[in-house]
Amino acid sequence: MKFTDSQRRLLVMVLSGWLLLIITRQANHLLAPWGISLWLGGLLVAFPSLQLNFRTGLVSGVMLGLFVDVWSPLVFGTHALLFGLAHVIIFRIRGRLAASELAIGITVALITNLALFMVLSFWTLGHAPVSGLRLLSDLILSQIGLGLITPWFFALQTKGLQLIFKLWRPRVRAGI
Amino acid sequence: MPPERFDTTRPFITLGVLILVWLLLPTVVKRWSKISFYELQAPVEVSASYLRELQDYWSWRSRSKTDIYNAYQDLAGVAAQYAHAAEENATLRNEVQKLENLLRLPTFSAYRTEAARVVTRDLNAWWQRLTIRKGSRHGITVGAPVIFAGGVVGRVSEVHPHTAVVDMISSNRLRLAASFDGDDRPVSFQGGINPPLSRPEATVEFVPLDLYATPAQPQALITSGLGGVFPRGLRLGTVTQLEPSPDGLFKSGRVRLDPRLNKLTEVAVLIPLEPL
Repeated sequence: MKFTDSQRRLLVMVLSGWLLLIITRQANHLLAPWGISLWLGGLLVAFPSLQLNFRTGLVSGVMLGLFVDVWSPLVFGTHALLFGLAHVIIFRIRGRLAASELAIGITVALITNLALFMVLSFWTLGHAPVSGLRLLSDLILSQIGLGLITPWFFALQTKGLQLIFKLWRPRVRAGI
Repeated sequence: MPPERFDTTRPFITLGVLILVWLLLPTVVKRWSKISFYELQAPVEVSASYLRELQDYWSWRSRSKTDIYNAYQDLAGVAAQYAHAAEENATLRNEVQKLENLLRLPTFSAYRTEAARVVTRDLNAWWQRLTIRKGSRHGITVGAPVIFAGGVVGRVSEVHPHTAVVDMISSNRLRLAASFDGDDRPVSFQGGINPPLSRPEATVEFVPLDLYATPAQPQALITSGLGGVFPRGLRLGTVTQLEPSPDGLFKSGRVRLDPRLNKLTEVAVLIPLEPL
């Protein structure tokens, strides 16, 4: 089975994003008794939006959004729409940023996560009763967690891209 | 080469087209996509829960024989108590049945319980859900009530072949009719206040003015049996505070829920013997 370069990049982005989702859900399962939780949606969008071409980043964001949507009670496609929109905005402004710098990547991931968290809070809660303290603590914990794991996650995605091209390119050239 | 203005707005146009296509897709396709994405991820979640159980098993294996003997003695005591309670329960059931026959009353709707392990707890500020390791293959249906030793857990909101998703009573998406223990009048119960590092809380509304609750004299809140989903008398929580609502016609207040709701590992699904 032959994959184009774009498809290989997409595969790495979706698999690494899915891994992050699994880890986050397991972490939230363990954090539940303390009444706190993590949300790292911004990190799923940041790297593809800053480093990859428009189409790969968009498809990766939408697909990971659908992965997240499955576990939420919101309308199926809500996260996909938000991740897609976040990708378009980051892609639009990335020309003005030093996108390859890690510090810029962390900043973009933090801002994206904050914005998506706020939008989802307004979207989900409306007039329903909610603890403001809970929202704030979840947001702060998510931002701290995101700041700490972004270097590892970016490195994982970069290494994943390097590995997949190293493994598959020679075979394609040899016509296998 | 396209004009610059078109080039800069092209990403937004592409996203707009994508949204339009998604909106125009038939519901069947969306439903199929959701099921596909769910079933792709479900085995990973279930495997993780089995791994946690294996971890527990090995941690128990590392305990000393004295610990195991002490646990056995405790369990023997509990088992004796349960055996006695089961005998009492059977006698009471017979008595209820006799009275029903004598007075020609309709029988209580019967449920069968299906115990299920919790796969994942997804408790955040937006929603409070559990994924359990039993689904449609075990007879679980959407809307079935879920309980545990401390009372109501919630209601089944999604059912898949081997797993099901439960909306918890601590979630602001679940509203139900409740009543105070010893009072038949219905009140409105809604979850949603889940402060960090603390037990979950809920709100109660439309409480008659002659009912009182204070931290010193809390009142138990139970399911009212109205609505046909939850049977009457299941414990929801404790009302510790009631204040007159702005219109002055009713009272509203806070309900303290069981702190064990946040660390559930096993629940029981009530499956109606006669479909709702």
